[in-house]
Parts: sequence; C-alpha cells; structure tokens
Amino acid sequence: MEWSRFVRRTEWDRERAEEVEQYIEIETADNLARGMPPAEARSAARRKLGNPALIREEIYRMNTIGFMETFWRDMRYTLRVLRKSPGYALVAVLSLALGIGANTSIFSLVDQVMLRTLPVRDPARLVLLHREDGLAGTAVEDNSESVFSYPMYLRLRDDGRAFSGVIARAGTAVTILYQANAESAGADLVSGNFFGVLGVRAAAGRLFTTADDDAPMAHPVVVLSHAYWVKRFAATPAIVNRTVHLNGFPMTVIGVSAAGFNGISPGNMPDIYVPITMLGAAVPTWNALDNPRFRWLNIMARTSAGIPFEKTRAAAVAAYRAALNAELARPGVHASDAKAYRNARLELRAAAQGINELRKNNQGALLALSAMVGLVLLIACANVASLTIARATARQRELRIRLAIGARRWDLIRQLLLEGLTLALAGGTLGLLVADWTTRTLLRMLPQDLAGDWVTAGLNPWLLAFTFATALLSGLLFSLVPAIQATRPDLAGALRCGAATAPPTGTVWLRKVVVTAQVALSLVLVVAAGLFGRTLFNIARIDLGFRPQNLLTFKVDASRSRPNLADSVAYYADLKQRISTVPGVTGVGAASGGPFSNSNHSANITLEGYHPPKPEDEVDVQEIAVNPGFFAALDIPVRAGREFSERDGAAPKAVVANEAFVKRYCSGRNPLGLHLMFGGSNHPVLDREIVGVVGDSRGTSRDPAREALYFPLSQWDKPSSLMFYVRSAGDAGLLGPSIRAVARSADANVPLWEMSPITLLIGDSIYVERLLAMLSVAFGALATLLAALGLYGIVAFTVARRTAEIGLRMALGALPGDMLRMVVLEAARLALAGIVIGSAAALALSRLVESQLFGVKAADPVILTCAAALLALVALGAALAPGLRAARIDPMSALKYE
Amino acid sequence: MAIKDRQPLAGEMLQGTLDLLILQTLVLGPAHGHTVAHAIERRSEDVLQVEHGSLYPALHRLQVRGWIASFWGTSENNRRARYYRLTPAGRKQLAEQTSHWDRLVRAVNQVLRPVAE
Repeated sequence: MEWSRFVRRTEWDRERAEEVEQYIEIETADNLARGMPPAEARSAARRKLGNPALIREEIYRMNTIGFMETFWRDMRYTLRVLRKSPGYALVAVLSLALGIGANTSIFSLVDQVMLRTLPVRDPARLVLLHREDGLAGTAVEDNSESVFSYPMYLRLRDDGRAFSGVIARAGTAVTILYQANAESAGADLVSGNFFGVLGVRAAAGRLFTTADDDAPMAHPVVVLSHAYWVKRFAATPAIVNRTVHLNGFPMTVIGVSAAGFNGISPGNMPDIYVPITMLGAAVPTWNALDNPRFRWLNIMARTSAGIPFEKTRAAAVAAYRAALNAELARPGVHASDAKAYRNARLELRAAAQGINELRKNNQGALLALSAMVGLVLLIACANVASLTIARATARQRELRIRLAIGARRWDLIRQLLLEGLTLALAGGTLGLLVADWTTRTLLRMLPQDLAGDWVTAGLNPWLLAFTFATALLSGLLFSLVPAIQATRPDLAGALRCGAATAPPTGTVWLRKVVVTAQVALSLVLVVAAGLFGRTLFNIARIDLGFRPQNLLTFKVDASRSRPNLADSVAYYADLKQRISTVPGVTGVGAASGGPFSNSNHSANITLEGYHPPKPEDEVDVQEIAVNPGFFAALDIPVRAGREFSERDGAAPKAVVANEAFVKRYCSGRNPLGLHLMFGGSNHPVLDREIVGVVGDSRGTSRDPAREALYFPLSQWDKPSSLMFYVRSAGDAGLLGPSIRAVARSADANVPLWEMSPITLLIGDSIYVERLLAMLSVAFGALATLLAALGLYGIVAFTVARRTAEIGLRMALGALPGDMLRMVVLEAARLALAGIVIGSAAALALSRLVESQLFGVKAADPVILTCAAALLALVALGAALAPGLRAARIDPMSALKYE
Repeated sequence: MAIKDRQPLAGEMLQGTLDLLILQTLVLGPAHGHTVAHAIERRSEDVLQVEHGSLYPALHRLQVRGWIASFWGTSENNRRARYYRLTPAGRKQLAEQTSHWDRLVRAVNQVLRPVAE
C-alpha cells in the first residue's frame, strides 16, 4: 500500500491541484455574492487559502520515499560530475577493473578447486570414512585417502546402524577396446549402490543397482561417464546395450551417468564405472575381493537426515569396531596386525567436496595467489584514493560553497561516497571482462587435464556476487576516508581563501600516508616476485640426474590382457626390440616407477651388515624394475660396477643401487658384492647381490632422489604399468607416429597412453611454480608502477603547491641544487617509511608461503635487499622530474604568480 | 519503507486537533473542502483561524489512513467538487479521539483551575 502511494502520487497531485482551484472558485463566488468587487474577490479567496504550491508540495512529500528521492538526485549529480572529469573517471575505473578483474579471476579458480561441492543430492550429508591405525593399504591407482578392504566394506554396508547408505570406490586404469580401437581409460570400481546413494541420474540407459554387484564376475556391465560418452562415442544413445571389451573382457554398456558428475574424487576423472565385483576384469593380476588384508577402497557414507552427528559417529565407530572384532576372530590374523586392530580408530570427515585431490594439490598456491591479488587490489584502491583526495582538494571550493549554503556534512559525504561507489561498480563491470580474459590466459598455463576437465572460464552467480561485493568494498575503501577528510567542518571557514592558494595540509598528510602504504604493499609484492621467481629458476634448472632433452615417454600396461607375468615381460621385450629399429631411436628404457611416471613403489629390505638405529625401523627404499639399457637411454651415469644386460635372466638375482642408497646404508663399505633381500624375515635369505652403482635421479623436480634399488624386469614379480623412455637423435616428439605403428604391430590390443616428450611432463609438473612466478612478477611490476605514479603525483603536487615558497627561498639565495635535494629528500622519506613497513610485512607474510618455495628461504636477505633497492630507485626516479622542476623555478615569476 | 508525514503548516498540537475537527464536521454528512473549512471556522466562533489551505494536507492524510473517503460530486453551484465522507473506521477514531480530548481538557483544566476549597 505504501509503495502504491509513491506510485500514485502524481495522479493525486493533479487531483489536489484541481481541488484547490475549486476552493478558489467557490470562495470567489461567495465573496462576489457578498458584494466584493470581482478583482478583490479573487485575491481575497487566495489569501484565505494560503500558498497553493506549498499545499501541493506538502501532500507530495507526504508520499515520498525519502531515501529513493535523494538517491536519484545524488545519482544524477554524480553522473554529471564524473562526466565533467573523464580523465579521473577513466583512470579510476581502469585501475579498479584491473584489480577487481584479477581478484575475480583467481576467485574463480579458488571456487572451482576449493569450494565446489559434488553435484550430487544433498552433498552436505556425505562423509568419508578415515581410519587411524598402522595397517598398510594397497594403492590401486589414485586412492591417497584412507582405504578399506572389500570384506570390511561389506560389513560396514550391511551393519546399517550409522548411515542411510555406504558406498565404496577405487580408481584404476583399464584398456577399452571398441571397434578395433584400444585406448587406456580411467575406471572407477564402484559398489552397486554407488549412484543410488549419491543420487546421480542416468543421462542414457540405466545406472548400477545392488543387483549388478552381488557376486564376483557375475555381471559384466559398465556405465560410461558423460564426458567419455561424448568424447569416445559421440554421445550416441545407441551405445547402450552394446559391448565394449575391457582388458579383453566383453562388457555391456548399460548406461551413461549424468552430465557434470565426474566421480567423487575431483582431480581423478573416471571415464568408465565398473562394479567392484568385476575386479577380476579391471585388474586381472589381482584377487583382492575376499582378502581382508588388501585395503584399497575409499568408503563414503550418507548420514541419515535428522540424526545428530555425534550419534552417527558413535554408531559408525561401533560398527567399525564390530567389523574389526569379526575379522580378528578369523584364523590366521598376523600378530603384528592384531595390535593395530585393537588400536584402530575411525573418523568421519565431511565429504561434500568428495576426496578433493585438486584442493590438496593446489590449495597452497591458490591461497598465495589470492593474497597477492588482494594486495594488488589494495594498491589499486590506494591509487584511486590518492586521485580522489587530489580531486577533493581541487573541488574544495564547490564543497565549501555547498556547506555554506546549508548542505549537511552527511549530504556531502554521501555524495562523495556515491561517486566512489559508482566508479567502483563501473570498475567491477569492466573487471568481469578483465577476469574473463585473465582466466583464459591462466587456463593456458595449467596442465591440460586440469584446465580441460576441472577448471573452466565462465561466469556464475557466485562469481558475480563476489565481483560486486569486491567492487563495493573497494569503493568504500578508497572513497570513505577522502570523503570524511574533504568535508571536515573547519574547511568551511576557509571559504574566504582564494581558489589558487594552498589546500589544507590535512589532505597532503593523507596522501603521504596512502603513498607510503603503496610503497609498502609494492615491496611485499616485489619480494614475492623475487621468491617465486627464484623458486622457478631453481626448480627449472635443477639437475634431475638424467638428460631430459630428446626423450619421449609413454605408458603401457600389458598385464591387463596378460595376467601371466612372463607373457607381459615377453611383450615388453618385444616392444623394446621393435622400437629400437625405428629410425632415429638411439636408446629405449623401460621402468616401473621411473622418473616422472607418477608411480612409486616402496619396499622394505634386509641388507647384509646394516642394522637400523632402532630395530623396529624398516629399511625403506624405492624399488624400480628396469630393462637392460635403461640407464644408457636416460644418460644416468654408472658410478661403479655394471648396469644390467640381456644376460641378466631370472637368476642370479642382481640389483643396482643409487648413490643415495650407498650413502645412507653402506656407510663407507664397498657396495659392490653386498647381499640383500626384499622384505624381512627372522631367517633372512640374502638372495640378491649389488652389482652396480648409478647416479641419483629425481622422480619429480621438487623431491630429492630417494634411496633406490633397481632390478631387471626379468626378475620382476609385481606386474604394473611401465613407462618407456625413448631417446632420439632429433626432436623426440616426431617419433610418436612411428612408435605407435610398431606398437600396433606388436599387439593392437595393448594401448600406449600419455605419450609426450619428457620435457613437457617436467614443464607440467612445475605449473604451480611457473604460475606463481609469472603472476607474482606481473603483480610486482604493476604494483611498482602504480606506486611510482603515486609518488610522482604527491611530489609534483607538493612542488606546485610550494612554488611560491621555493621562489622566495631562491630569491633569498638558495641554490637550485638545494631545492632538488629538498624535493628528493621528501620523496625519499616517504619511500623509506614504505620500505621499512613493507619489509616487516614481507618478512611476516613470506613465512606463509614457505611451503611453496624451492631452494630459497622465506627470509632471503638478498631478495629483500634487492626489492628494497629497486623500490628506492623507482622512488628516486619518480621524484627526480618534479625535483628538477623545483630547481628550475624562476624566483621572479614564482613570486609574481602569487 | 517509511513514508514521511511532515506537518510544517500545523504545529504538533494543532494537527491532531485539526484532524478531530474535520472528522467531527463530517459526522453531519459528506462535504467538500470549502464547506469543511468554513464549517470549522464558523463553529469555533472564528477562534480557530487556520489558513484554509492547510486543510487539504490534513484531508489527504485522513484519507490515506482510511478514516475518510472521497468521491467526485456536484457542488451547490453546480461545479464538479471533491466530497469527503466519514468511513466506519473514521467514526470509531472520532469517538476515541473525542474521549481522549475530553480527558486531556479535563486534566489541563484541573491544573489551571484547581477545585476551590
């Protein structure tokens, strides 16, 4: 009703006008009837009524919504004012657009990597089961979180006390053969109730039910992920009920999961879902379904609605305890495990985001980036604030006049704030464009699987809300203080001063504070640029221990279709032989868990004559199966003894150690001829002999080489995928097609995947360092530029303001050099204050990014000194031009000017 | 959103009084602004000399509050005129305000002229 008054008031006003007219008519008629002369009759009627305009205005205002009225009036004025100073508006909007756009862009990464919840029904009710005990797990491929055995999963699922649903998954890789085309694909082994409990719908066909999962190898069915369906099968619905071959097993495609659902482990995108009971097909070398000692499944559960969390937790712990006791009761439990069983604890972890590998891997870098863009925005705000103060100073006459003719101070502050917010919103809007461009540029710097599958550019309501909230906050930040400052009541008294004379010192003081802050913030960013730049430099030129140039790598896993180990090994030897004949190939290495293969096999060994400091300590090493020629192909130097050759068959058992191993475990003894065994025993049989020592090589750029033992593929007992390293005489990338061709001729059903020059793998593996380095350098440069502009502005302004004073001083005998020194010293004082504050801030903040650094300390004195020197130089440069202007002031004209 | 009721013409005290007088005038039947103004002036024996214009904001306010309603009619001298009439809510309001006013007057009188001993 009240709003309708506001809307209807124009109509009412017309009515009222008419009514008032009528009053005059009637009153005039009455007056005439009383015998007044016509002219007097009318004016007497008007007198009786009073001022009709005032009456109408009073009624009009009765129906006013005060805030809206003033807002529109202020807004119109604001637009008029900003149109009059397009330069100021443009600079302000542009710097804010850069600052806000950068923040929006980084926030979109943060949002997608760290904040997004799984696209499933009610994700907030999902929990991940996490156990705390010493029981070893068995990784299939990617399950870094807690893992449980399949029997344990079944017990927890069937207990039913704690949860409304319990699901399990494990990731692996399989070969999918369809229409004579074999490809490696990511597979999630999932429980039959997986989709049902999550509430994921089918995009085509149907999804698994518990009936698809009730007995081992009974239901050869698969579900495709939406993305894989589109990519591999052109999104054809006809694929439903067709057969694909999974590691050679015929499996029926029963459906496609909903678009947007990419499994429950962001960072690991499954192409295909397979019932856990089909493990024999997915991982043919493995029989883990019945064995409680194989722990390999992630377990997630949905809590029941309306049950307090504590109760759920207690019920889950009870169920786990009961399951453990049942397992303990089975015969043949190892004594060492029994203790761990009794101490086992279960935790429930919130899993609305799933098992977020993305978050785990990128969190530190993203937080560092967020902090840096935050600083950039602060600097941009400081810059605009500084402009706004300068402008408020220039507008003082206007402000004083408005105060003098009765404007309240709040009216002026409101007006100035509105101008700021208008600029900020314009900056925010333009910032959306900047953000879009920046995000696309950032995505090009990310590894392809990350950028393509998990992080995309694009707007959503969250992002919009973030952008405009940031804009409003920045608007307040840069306009509130100047507004309060510029409208200080004592300024009103200064109305009598002329326009050209000095503005009050308060605003200059404020600008100095802003410039000092800018210098300080810039220093922090320059230090960050130094640290991250140094990190990238260190990590990019780290000695990897092998020669990465002209080295092509790919992965292959023959064990998927050849469960018999000897068959796989024979295939690998054949493949190696065929690749060696490709023109341009000068060496072929193959290894399980070699450099940059992302796989890592650890083993516990017993070494002749070595006793660990504590008897219960395990002698932990990395075990790597390699083919003869591996060290030569990678250019890993042989330091002593020999490397493997074709003559190393199944026996005698030979191993090659790396230097880290020799250093740690041989303690001065000659490693050659030492005997050892894999594993431990009360009656060890040291069946392997060290026949050679090779140089250390790193598995990734960041991690130093671990103690490693190499052994020949021919003596291998744990089949898994291999990485091949093909050394070429020229560009490694050119070998791809020929290698694929010879691999097809070896066995068309064994796919090669992830084929890439190793230099690209290395590049992708340090994308975080590269991103941080490039962005911090860009931000540091931008910040320094803005600080230089700010410093120049304030110094030039002071020189202009003090023209008369300088003229007077020079007339009294000061030398131009004195004036130059005076001006430069003033700038130096500001810069020095900023540098001191910034150094303290940089020391405090850089500790937070220590984990992102490599080969450089957070408090690196050289970097800090260089950053300080850089800013000091920049400050000097910024002050030099106005300083020289001061030195050239002609006393006569300066005094006349006054 | 609050809508401001400003009353720069009539003082605080007078405003409620003016409302009361208007409502009282309309008890006798519908009337237009001119009639109401003159009626108040006449019936107060010319003591309450208000500018007749100040009546209109008061009429508008009372109408917005739902105490009076208006309609277009024809005046004594055959002109189109805005007529006001009392609504049931207005009648109730008048009764309440009248008793309130009576109490106020009694109270003020007691202060000004205490009962003689």
